[in-house]
Amino acid sequence: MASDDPTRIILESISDGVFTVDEEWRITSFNRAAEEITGVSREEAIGRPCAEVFRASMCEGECALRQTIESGQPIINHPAFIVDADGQRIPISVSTALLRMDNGKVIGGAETFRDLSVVETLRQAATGRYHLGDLVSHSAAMQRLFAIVPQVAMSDCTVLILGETGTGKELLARAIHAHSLRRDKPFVAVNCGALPENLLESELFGYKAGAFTGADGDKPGRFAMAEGGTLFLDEIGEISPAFQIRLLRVLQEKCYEPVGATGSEHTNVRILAATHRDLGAMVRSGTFREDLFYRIDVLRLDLPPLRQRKEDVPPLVEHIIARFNRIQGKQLEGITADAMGVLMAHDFPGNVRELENILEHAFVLCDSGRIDMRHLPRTLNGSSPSSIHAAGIAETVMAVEAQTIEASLRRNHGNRLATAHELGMHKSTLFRKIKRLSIRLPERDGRSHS
Amino acid sequence: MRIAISSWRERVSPLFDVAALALIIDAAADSRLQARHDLRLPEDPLAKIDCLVGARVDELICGAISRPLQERLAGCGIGLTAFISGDIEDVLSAFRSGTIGDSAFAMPGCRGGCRRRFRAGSPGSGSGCPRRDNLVELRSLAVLPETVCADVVERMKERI
Repeated sequence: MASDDPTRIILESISDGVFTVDEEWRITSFNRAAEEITGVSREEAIGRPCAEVFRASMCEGECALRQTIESGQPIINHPAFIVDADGQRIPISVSTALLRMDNGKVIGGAETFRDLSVVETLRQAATGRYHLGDLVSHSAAMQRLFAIVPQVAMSDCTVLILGETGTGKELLARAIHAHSLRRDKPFVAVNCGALPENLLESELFGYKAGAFTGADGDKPGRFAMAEGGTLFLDEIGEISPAFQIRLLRVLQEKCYEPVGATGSEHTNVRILAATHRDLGAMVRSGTFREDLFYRIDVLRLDLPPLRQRKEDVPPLVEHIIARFNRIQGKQLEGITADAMGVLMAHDFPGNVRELENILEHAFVLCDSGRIDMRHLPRTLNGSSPSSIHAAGIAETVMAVEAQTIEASLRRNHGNRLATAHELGMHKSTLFRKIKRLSIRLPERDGRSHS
Repeated sequence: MRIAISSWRERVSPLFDVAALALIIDAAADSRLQARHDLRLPEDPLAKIDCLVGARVDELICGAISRPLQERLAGCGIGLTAFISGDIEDVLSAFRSGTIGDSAFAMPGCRGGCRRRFRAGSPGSGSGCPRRDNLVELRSLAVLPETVCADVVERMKERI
């Protein structure tokens, strides 16, 4: 095509990426927008296999261009993502068409693709109120948490994250890192409970060659790997008293000694710690050092268990189903009211991770349509109260509302004002709901509770 | 040393995030190849890494790979040579001879400042590596090829 060819001028001026391939799947043309979106220059792209230039999520499995060439049918706006040279995933939509000679002979295919990053950013902004990183919640308690995370993230001080197993402590830590000034530096997570003390020391601090048998060379530890970034110490309540002293020294003096080293190394990492244990009780019982506790308990974030925020179950189910649809290439439409009722009646001792496992189970058994009762684990069906099982969605919602309000009243020792505050509603709304749902109030109204 | 190369049609798979197959190669200290076999990878991107950890892979050679997976690999103690393209046998020869960093094996768009070599952390518990509670999730994954990964799961239990 000559440089003043009208078709070429049009292709160079549009914002959609366009490339063509020959019958050997090698790139034959590559427009300006394609260069910008993929980060690959035209000179590098021409003649190379399209999958290695484009590297889209669909290339290996369901190549849209291959389907078009095999079926003769164009594909319009198929969603996918590509990975650029920085490792960033870029959401795109792809359309394809056949490339024919004047005599009708197929000589390859043409693919156009649109960068959806801006659309995705806007979508995230629209839903962002209920999302923080990969955490999803509509509950008042979690909303308050989401609201303070940006300030917590910017403060750069140590944070202690408390929560039962499966509540998303690591996701919260990642969200704090992603909102912090250290976000372009590494986030490194260590599960302190997974390693014995001697391994934990070399894992965190690294070792020098010759420190022990088999230490052939220097090995950097997690502190070194997280330099400039964030180190997440999960299950910190599991570390031994002896190691608590070593960790305390690092937090106080900002330096550590790799195993076998003769000198100290300075560290610049932000520490986020998490545990499912009651560290205060451990301090009182003498199993956790008080000085270390106060070093890490600078800012405390409490992730409530899922049973205390049942209103999060429907949006979490929606979020998880959308994710599994994406990962597993399925198109499940959602969940029936009956199945949702069973989930709402469950107490989720394993929290969000348990909900994910339940839906994974359902995805194995359900190929299309909606997840139903028969797709849920049999053990779960046994926990369903018959009143909820047989109820429609309106009754289910009312039952859950009543459960949530009753639980909040108990937590606040019957104090209506505190309950309304916790649930994020006006006290008159709470009184109206208490009356409508026939909730029995505790004898003490909680106002005198200290 | 155990090397994994994500493969597709006799070439390095263009995108590890969606790769379905890896070639596992055992190499002696003198780079002589000792054994090789195919490993089917699960569909879930993080489960792919769990599978490599279970297979005791030391180094992954792959095409493009997204940043969260790069970090996860490092946290799991697996070295990474990424954004590589070419025929599997040529890439393997280049890895043995130490010439895999040559621009001939760089993916398009990666010949300049693109980072292609990532150092591994210590094998173990970092950055969401398989733990006992994760193992249950891994077992229940619908996409996990049980027949291929059954021995992997058993070895993961040993590690934990």
